[in-house]
Amino acid sequence: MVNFPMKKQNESWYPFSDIQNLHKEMNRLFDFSFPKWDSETSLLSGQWAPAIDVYDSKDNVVVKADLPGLTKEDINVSVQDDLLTISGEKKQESEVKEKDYLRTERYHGSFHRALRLPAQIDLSKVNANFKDGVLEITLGKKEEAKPKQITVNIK
Amino acid sequence: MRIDKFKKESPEPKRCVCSAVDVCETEKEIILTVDMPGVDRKTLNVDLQGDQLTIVGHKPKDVLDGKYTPYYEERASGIDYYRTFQISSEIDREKIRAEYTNGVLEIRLGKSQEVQPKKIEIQTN
Repeated sequence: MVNFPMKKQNESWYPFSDIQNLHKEMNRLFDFSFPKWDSETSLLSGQWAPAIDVYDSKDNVVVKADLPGLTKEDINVSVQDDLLTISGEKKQESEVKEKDYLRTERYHGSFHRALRLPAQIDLSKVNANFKDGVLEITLGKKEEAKPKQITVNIK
Repeated sequence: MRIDKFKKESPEPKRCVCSAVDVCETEKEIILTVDMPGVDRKTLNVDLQGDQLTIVGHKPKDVLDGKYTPYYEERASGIDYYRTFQISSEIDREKIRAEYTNGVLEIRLGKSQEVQPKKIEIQTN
């Protein structure tokens, strides 16, 4: 004879509803903590991901990424069709060996970010510069990807 | 771990970004490494008033030539980076240096002579 903890006499107790609610809540919390990136980005391949802005104009796409503490040798940028991949590694600053870290808030290690751009890119029209920790990439769109205006004849 | 050296931080005055800071300690110095990418150097300020160290830098709003619409935005721009710390009396105020490279501000706070570990010679008879 098993005693179930019943709230009221006439209220049935579904044992799995609590677990389902907990499961739903945990999923929600997890999705909130780790916002969905583009499907090409793998959480496992990089330990952190830089913040990125993408701007769109008729002819170009401009991408800006915050990468403080890196030099241009540490960063790799590659483009294919409309997919932009930025990756690299923040080298350890080890000029002083006997450091005792009291607090770390900054990210270290490698990073990897891939994102879909708003248009197909003409690979001959890409340039990038890096200043004060901000990477700026200007990508020219392919002719066929540029918005075109056509007049529609209404019969 | 003498983390109490950096006591309670004061609240920020207005809308700003609390930049990420690494704090590490060596025998002679305490080194603060502050992430502040894209800051206008003219607005960079490291201020020591009493025992409060304030770090401020303004990141200007992105201005792009031509007609651009934002497609995707994650970065903060047109905003101040701001952090304050309370530093203890162990710091020698004459020995503070700051350097801004690649979007990172590195502040070195030298410890005063009395606090640095001294090797004591052992006399033997």
